[in-house]
Amino acid sequence: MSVRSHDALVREYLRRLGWGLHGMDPNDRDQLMSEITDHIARARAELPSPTEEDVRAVLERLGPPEAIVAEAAEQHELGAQRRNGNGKSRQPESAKEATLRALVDGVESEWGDEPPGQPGAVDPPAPRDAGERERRRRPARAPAGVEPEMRAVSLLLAGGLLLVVGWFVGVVLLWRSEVFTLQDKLLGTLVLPGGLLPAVYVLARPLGGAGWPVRLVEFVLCVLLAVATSIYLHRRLRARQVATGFESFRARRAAHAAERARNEMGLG
Amino acid sequence: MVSGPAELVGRMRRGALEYCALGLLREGERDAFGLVRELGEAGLAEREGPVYPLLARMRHEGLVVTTWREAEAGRSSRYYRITEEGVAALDEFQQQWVDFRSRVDALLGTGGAAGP
Repeated sequence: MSVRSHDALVREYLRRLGWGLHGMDPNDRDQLMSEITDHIARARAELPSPTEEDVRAVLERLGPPEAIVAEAAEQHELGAQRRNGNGKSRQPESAKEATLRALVDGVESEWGDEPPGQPGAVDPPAPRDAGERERRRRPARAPAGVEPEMRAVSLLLAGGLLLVVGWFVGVVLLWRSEVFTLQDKLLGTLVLPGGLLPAVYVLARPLGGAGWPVRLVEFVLCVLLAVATSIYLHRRLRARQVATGFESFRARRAAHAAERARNEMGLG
Repeated sequence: MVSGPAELVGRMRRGALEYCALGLLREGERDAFGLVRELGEAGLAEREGPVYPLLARMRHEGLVVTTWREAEAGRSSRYYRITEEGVAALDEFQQQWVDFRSRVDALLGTGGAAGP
């Protein structure tokens, strides 16, 4: 397998990670993506002549993107729980409390599973020592910029206007997606074939016997159908992202923490 | 829900991971990759990726500070350093961990006497 193929494996991994972290604080998300990107680069640099298996081993050692997303949600909620309600940074607990809390947090959380969570406050900014500054890092290649699914939605709508071939590219991206369901794919392909192109054709074709009023209605219908399909696919994409990513883990963590609080109150 | 002793110990290990990271950083500044790799090789992190969100929370809580530095081939790496607050937290945990461990060892007969 060529280096380009190895890069494709890494890009796909980072794309899945970036997709799952949607909903996280953008700065935290960027920093986490940068660190993971750097980690992969360092791990690959250690290998003299990496094969496909070597690259896959690096990614397996890192763990599935979903595990990182789950842990990010878990740590976000843990940080929120450790702060008191007015958003101050963590107050020192007694030593015994600190030890027991560390152990209990480890027992109570579900590393690798889908952890429950609670809606948390925004984390305070990272503290800065005097004389030290944290430089914001942008990875050399922006991970998960515009997902292929979003590209597909755009091309299905307007790709037909780009020498028609753009719409076909959108169809290919749509059917290659693992996010959209079969129903989504059929709807995106059939309503309307060509996207906005049929609307342009309606305007451009010679006037028939029905005249301009009918043509106008046809034009509006074509535009509405194409735009409605685009909106539907975008919403399906967003719903799936919310259901499986960072926000989902946080919501489940909230339910778990609330249940724990109720149990503690019952025992207390 | 914990299903058995192995899983319980695994989760306790995970709960102590934060302090193990602080323990490594007390020895000196480390780059993120080296820190995560060492925690993994010590058997404290089954997968390396989830350690990074833990480090992010520690950064937010002021237990560590970080800097980005140019490494090789134009790439930058993040370096972690423990703060005074991190040292204090580690000292507290260390004190209680030794007490906890010795009491458990005494009850299980795995060595060490019970603490004062």
